[in-house]
Amino acid sequence: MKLLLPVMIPILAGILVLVSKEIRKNRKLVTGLSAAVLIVEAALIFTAILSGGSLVLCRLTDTIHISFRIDQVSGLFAGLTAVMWLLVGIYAIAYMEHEHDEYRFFGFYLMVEGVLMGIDFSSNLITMYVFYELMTLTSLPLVLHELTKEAVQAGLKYLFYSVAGAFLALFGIFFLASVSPTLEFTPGGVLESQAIAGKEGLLLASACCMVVGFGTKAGMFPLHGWLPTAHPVAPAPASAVMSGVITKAGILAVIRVFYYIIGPDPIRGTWVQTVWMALSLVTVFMGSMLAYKEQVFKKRLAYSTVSQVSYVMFGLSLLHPIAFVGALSHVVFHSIIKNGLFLSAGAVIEKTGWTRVEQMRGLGKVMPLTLACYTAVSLALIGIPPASGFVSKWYLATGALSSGTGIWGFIGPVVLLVSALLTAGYLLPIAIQGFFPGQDFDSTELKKRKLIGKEPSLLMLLPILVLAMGAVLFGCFPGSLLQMIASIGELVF
Amino acid sequence: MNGFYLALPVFLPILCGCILLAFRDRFSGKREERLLNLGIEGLVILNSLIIVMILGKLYGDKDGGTMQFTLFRLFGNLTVMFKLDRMGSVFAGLIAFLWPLATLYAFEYMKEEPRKPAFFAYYTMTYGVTAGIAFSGSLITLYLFYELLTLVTFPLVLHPLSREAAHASRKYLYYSLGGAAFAFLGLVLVLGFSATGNTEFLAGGMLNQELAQGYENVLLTFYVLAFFGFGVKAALFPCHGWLPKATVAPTPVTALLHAVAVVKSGAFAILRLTYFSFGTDFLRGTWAQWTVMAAALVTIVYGSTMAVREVHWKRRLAYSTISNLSYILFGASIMSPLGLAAALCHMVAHAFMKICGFFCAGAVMHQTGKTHIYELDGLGRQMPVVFGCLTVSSLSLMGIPLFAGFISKWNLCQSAFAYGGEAVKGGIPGGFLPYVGVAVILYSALMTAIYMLTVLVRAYFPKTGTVMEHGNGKRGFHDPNWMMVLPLILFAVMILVIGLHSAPFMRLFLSIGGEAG
Repeated sequence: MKLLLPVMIPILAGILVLVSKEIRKNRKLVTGLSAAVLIVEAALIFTAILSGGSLVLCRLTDTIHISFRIDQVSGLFAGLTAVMWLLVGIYAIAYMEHEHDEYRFFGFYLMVEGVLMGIDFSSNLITMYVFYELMTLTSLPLVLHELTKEAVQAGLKYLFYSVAGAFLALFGIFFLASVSPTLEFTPGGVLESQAIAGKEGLLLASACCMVVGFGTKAGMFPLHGWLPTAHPVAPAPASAVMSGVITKAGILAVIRVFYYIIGPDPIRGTWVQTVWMALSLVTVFMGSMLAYKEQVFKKRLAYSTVSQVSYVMFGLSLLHPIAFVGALSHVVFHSIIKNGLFLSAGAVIEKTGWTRVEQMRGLGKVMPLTLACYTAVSLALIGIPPASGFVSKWYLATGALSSGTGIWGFIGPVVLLVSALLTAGYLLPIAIQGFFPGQDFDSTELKKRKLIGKEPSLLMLLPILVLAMGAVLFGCFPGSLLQMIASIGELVF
Repeated sequence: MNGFYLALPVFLPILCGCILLAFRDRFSGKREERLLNLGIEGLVILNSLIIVMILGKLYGDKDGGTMQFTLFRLFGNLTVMFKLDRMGSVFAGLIAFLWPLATLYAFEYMKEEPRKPAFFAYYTMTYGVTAGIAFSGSLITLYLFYELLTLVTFPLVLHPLSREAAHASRKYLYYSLGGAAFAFLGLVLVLGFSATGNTEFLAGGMLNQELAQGYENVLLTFYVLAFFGFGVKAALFPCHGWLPKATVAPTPVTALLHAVAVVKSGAFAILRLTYFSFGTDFLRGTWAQWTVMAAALVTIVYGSTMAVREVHWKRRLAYSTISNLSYILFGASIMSPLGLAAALCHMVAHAFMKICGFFCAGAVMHQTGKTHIYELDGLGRQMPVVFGCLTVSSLSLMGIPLFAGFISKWNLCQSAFAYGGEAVKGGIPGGFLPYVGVAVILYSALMTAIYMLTVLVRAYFPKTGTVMEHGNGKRGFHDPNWMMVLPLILFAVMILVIGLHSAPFMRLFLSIGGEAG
């Protein structure tokens, strides 16, 4: 029951908000209800994580069950989701005031949280797949929200890429179901070598399908195309959680498949690992490069997501305990940082209407506190010690060097380094231009629009501040987090 | 129980249909019309009850499995006979569930149409003929009712009496008769090699193995011919052309006949041909198996790709039917117990999903007159029940877990992997085809997502401005009345029931597969 509540409550509340005429006409009721559900949900999630347990919900056939169980990985992802959803939800209450159809946003926003809990808590591959598909369907309206031609096209692109990825992965699931004794997640994998004897080729092909398929959600090349299109058209809070949290569902799926079903050993040293490493490094580099060239602020951040989530993918592809720690800690850090970045971008859009980078000169005069937070999370993403990004990248690089993958162990850190430079190149100019617009900067335009010193409202500023502090503090005191991840690593290797 | 009861649900509707046809001019007034509707609905429900009773007998008694009834003897041992086994009971149960609901829907849909008595006469007769196919105990009986089915459904396609309808119905007639001719060749050959001298269906095949020795290639050739012959009704590429054309018929016909009764009769005949006539031991691993499997796979790809290109809603669903029927044929061509079980599972699951999809399209046509996808903007809000059911049907067609479509897809792919593993290990050439099949099914699932979900996105999330442009905002369209809504809701519920709790269904299908595979 403790496991079912965090899944069902937001979904039911979301449906209620969408269906009930009385609620959806009353803005205060919509936001009040959403805030209440988000707080209760966070509490429920943490009690569920602390108490653990398992639950079989229903049996689709004799062999396929829908069931939930909590282990450390679920705890990590669920806890992260709970905090992010709450913070961004608070921000959204203020942000969405200026948008139309708020009830629809909040309805689906709540539903997605429940569905994500389903992914996090699922105890077998089928359950995870169910919620994975549902996640695509429930998050689609967030992308479509504006209902402009652009938004609808972006939404369809998102839908088709995601579904294509999911079906690619489904091929692997079908295969695994035919050879594996069980699809329950077990640390270290469940495959028996005699069951796959003679089918190694097919196993590797399925594994490759699953990397690319689940990698779609994580924005990995070659199926990354939807991400820079879909994330920027959504309202800022939606882009924030999509980039910061929903992309991580793809990562969780990959972890579950490769560390809990197949196990790292059948993959290590095969062509699948090589392909996996190559694809993720290509994505890291390509994402940074495109972000560097992009002038639309939110789109630049979306490309940055493409690149950063593939850091995690690269860490996982090394199949090495140290890199695993780097990957999972980067999941947490990137989530905090990217939410912070998108929320700052949203604040800029909401207050000034600026969407392009070159318009944002002199932003420091408008909202100095927000820009300071932006600078802090940017530094964390670049990986400047002691901010958080440094910790995860350190583990990723040392993991790569000691992973015994030959030449890849060297290429990897080099690509990460180049990408870090590019990250600095695409994030910092905004801060520099914002605080130091130069001698020739004419602030009369800003004065005319009464923009000087116009920080966003407290509801919007608070989440940004919390995220910025989190990004820095986690870098200074990462000990307990790293210890927990390392203990997961001990189980799966 | 007396075997005579088997003939009852077959001939009762046919007889009543003939009577109705003879007195069709008597039903002109409003009162007579209501009487007619009540009478037909009563008859159809009665017929379904008889079928349910027979099925209850089959599963209740130990000796119920031997229920049979000989109609007449042609010559020698060759008899036209009904015999009920579990395989036939699946099809019979399916149509017994669907027919009363579809008839109910048809009353409301056809309210404004002319020539109603004739329409319902043929509609009811089709029920009897389809029951005949489900109950037939020998290939010759199956063939007889198969031909009859063409003849009684032909007037239904012709019903609108437009030039287009005339063209479509003629095409339907020629395709079906031509296909039946091929099937006849197979029938004659089976008769020649039959172990009993009759063409009675036996689980595992009826061929006399000693006689067949030395004639393997002839037999296989005729198997492939008959497969394609029956495949015409199952819309197997390249004999599928009639199905999209036939969507000019009124929606109850397209939904019940061209998504379930007629096309599933084709698939059912193929299952009978493969598992109960030639036998899987004889066919497995031969070139014939790979030929028919490849044909099914080509059809899946073709159907789902064409559905994406089509913008006429009912035609799009018809192309989707083409591809989904070949899922069944793919299951049939795996020729293992699990393959048969998966084929039956998809036969049932697809029946509910597709009839639900067609009925939604019909409800929209009936309420708003809109027939093309691009006119549907914003209707989701105005017709919540219809589009709610369409959502269930679409997700199920896509094969999302929790819905019926996933269960059948899962079983199809499991049987394909299991058989493919054996075939590759045994070094049989062509053994990789089942693996290709899994990939094809997933490709088709992606196409399904594209062609079904674009409809839903349009209906629920219209682009700004498009709603007024199509007049969908002004006139306030709303859900149809209970006669159309009730079947929709029941079908949606069935999809969820099968999707969430398929174990009892699968146990039945697996037991059939275990006997015949």
